[in-house]
Amino acid sequence: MSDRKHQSRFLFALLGVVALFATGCDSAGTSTEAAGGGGGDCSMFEGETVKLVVPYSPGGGYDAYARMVAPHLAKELGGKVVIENQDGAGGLLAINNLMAAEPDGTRLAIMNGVGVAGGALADAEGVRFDLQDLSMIGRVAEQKPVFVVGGGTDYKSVEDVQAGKGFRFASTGPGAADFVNAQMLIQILGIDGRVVTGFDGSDESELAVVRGDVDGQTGDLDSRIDAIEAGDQRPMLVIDAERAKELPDVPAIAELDLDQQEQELTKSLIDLSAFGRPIVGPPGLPEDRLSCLRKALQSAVESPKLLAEADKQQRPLTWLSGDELDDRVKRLADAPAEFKRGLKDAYEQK
Amino acid sequence: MFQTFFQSLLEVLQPETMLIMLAGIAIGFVVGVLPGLGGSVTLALMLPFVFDMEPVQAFAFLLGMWVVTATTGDITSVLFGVPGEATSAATVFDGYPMTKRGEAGRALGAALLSSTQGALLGAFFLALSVPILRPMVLAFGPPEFLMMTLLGLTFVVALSGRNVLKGFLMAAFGMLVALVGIDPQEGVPRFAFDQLYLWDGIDLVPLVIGLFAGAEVLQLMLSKTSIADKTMAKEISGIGQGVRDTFRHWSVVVRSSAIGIVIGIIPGMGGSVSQFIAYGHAQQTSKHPEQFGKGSIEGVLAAGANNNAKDAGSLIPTIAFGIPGSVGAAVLLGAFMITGLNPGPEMLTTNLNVTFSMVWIMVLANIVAVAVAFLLIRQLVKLTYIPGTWLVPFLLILLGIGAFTASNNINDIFVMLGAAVLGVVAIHWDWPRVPFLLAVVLGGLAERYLFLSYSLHEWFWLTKPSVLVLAALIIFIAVWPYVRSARGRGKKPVPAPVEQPDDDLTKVGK
Repeated sequence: MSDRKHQSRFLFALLGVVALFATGCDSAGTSTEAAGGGGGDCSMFEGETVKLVVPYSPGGGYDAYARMVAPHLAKELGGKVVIENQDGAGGLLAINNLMAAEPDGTRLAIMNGVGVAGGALADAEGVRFDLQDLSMIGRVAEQKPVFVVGGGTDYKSVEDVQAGKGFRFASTGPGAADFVNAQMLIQILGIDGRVVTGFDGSDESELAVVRGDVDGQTGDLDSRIDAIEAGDQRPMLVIDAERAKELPDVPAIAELDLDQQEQELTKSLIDLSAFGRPIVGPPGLPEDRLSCLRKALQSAVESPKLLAEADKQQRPLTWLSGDELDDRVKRLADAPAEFKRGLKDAYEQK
Repeated sequence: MFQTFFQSLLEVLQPETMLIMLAGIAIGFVVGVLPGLGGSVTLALMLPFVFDMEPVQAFAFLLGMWVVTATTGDITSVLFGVPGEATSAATVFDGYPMTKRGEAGRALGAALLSSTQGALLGAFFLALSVPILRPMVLAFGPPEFLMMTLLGLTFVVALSGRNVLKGFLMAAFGMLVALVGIDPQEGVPRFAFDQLYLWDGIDLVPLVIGLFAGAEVLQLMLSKTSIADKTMAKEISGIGQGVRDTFRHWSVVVRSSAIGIVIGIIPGMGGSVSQFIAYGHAQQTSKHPEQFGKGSIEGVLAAGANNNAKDAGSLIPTIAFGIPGSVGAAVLLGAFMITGLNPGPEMLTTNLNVTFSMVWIMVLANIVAVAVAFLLIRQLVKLTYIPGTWLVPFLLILLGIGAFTASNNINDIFVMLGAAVLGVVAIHWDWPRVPFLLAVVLGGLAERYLFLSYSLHEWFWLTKPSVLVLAALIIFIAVWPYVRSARGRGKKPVPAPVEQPDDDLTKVGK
């Protein structure tokens, strides 16, 4: 009975949407109006419109996360949150533009944490800001990098890979997270191998791994888990301090027997990975606005309703506060020179 | 398996599922007609609506919407020369000239029905290929992809029309444009002039809109008449003729659909590539290649059939591996997650009914949309008799929105305007535009797959049997027109055609 009610309400909503299109709605952005007011100390955003920029075109993971979080953030702020897709330069364009935005918190962006933070640390071409300048609101989702090999290969463990010769990683290109992680693994674990670049996204890399054109790749656990469960890919290593609960039998990189220099590199790599998918603001956000946004985003990400929705979409949320992201930024600024050099090499392949 | 196949039809025909699908079709219809707002963007916007739906209902809604955008996008392409969807660009090449000739009804009839036929063929192929989905996807790698892009590039000769040299120059220029952006190997920006906008290369959507639609609107502004020439107007009954055309040229429809399916399967090639390859192939194999670009019904059919068949192709890797073959399929993958389906082997066993229901949804949604479109054709065609002075402001807005929504970047408008100027220049001095576009689309892909093939296999990829087969096909396709024209010259025995290419080159040119 209630199911039926749900259906009819859905159809009604659809009719509204059809009407919306018929009247010539031209923007790709959905705006979400708040239903109720937010917290007491967030009055400055009441009735305001916050633009949440997605640095990629619609349809990808960042887009899906932003669209999922937007209505809940709007509710907490008591205003509107509008999604704007602005792709370009592998996600850099939007962040560079954000640096020039009015620092009042009405323009925020979801960011490719590893790619952009790594690029900023490496002082890569096209990055026109320092990582310290960005206002970290908070991380909505982590991206736990895993190292996988093809299901048809003979590699059963990291030791096999270390003992082997001429191991080949698939990657989209220099500066991408799958490139940074692969390059760092080669360096830390002393793998005799190289990175093959030029694949059009992780989908094409996955096919190349399954087909056996290359031996393995690094990627987010979320996007690799289907291939792992289907047996198309075999997990070797989780690039994190602890094992992943989805893969209890797969070692974490921190468990490996490493010398001190390798351990330091590993620590910095884990710090970098921690950025995941953060929401950031322009430099110089006033303290009251920053703390309001941080609180509002945290309540949104931790609200049971959004968590249930995220669970259903299989896009898990793992909150990390803006303060903690700031800590990581500081730690990475003091990262060993070896690490920064490694990053630089990863962004400017010679 | 057969039982599941027909059971899934009954699931789709449930009243609630049908209602949801009709809603999806209605949205898809409008979105397809409007330029700018693309099918995949709309899918992303509609994704939250499927939270409480059953898997079959969710796909009835989303897939129904998505396949319809490809069909109705052709309507705008034919009537106004503005591609309604990025995948409907090739329909402009011949559909719009037909409209100007007063044959809009015939062009629309042909485009719409061939779209349905393409969708039917694609769906049929999807259903047939279920047992071999996984090995089929794995059979192709970067070397095979490279050969396919080269195959596409051989059509430059045919697309060049009367002057092959001009065609090659335009294609070379297109290759240069394709080089703009970050190179995929070393990550070095090329021809970017310190503009981050150029890092991702020139976007295809503003380029196509400017090159074809922009140029036509500029001409319409200057001519002060309506799009369609009233004195040449034919009866709307041309619709029937368009419908008959799809059957008369059935082999064009079938071959263009096959191209769409194959290109659709390849994740890196994207939906907007295959239409140009299908179009080039149609011109190459046509008995009247000189008609192409001036209102050839075969050109309309090739583009129309292709852009619907490719959707079925791009679903194949999505279902088999969870690897989307196009942006739209990527968003549909989100619907898999939401409804609790795991792409991969399960889709071919426990959830086979859902896989088959997708086949039925593609078929039914297209039939419904085309039936509605046929009812509206009369009214739509009248729009092309509105005087240009009334229509131009409206078209200019469509152009601007269409170019801008590609990436919400003001630079896209400048690219569109630049392309419009290029288009006017090309029309005026009779330089072919399609080879340029084909080279822009395929140049970047050819480079990427060449480097990938080399870094994966060094030069050994050249000896792969599949590569050799495709190479033979390329040579055959490149040489075939000369053989045919040589044969046409007389009954005398034809010498090996390769021996006198110069002579033949001029022959084809005329």
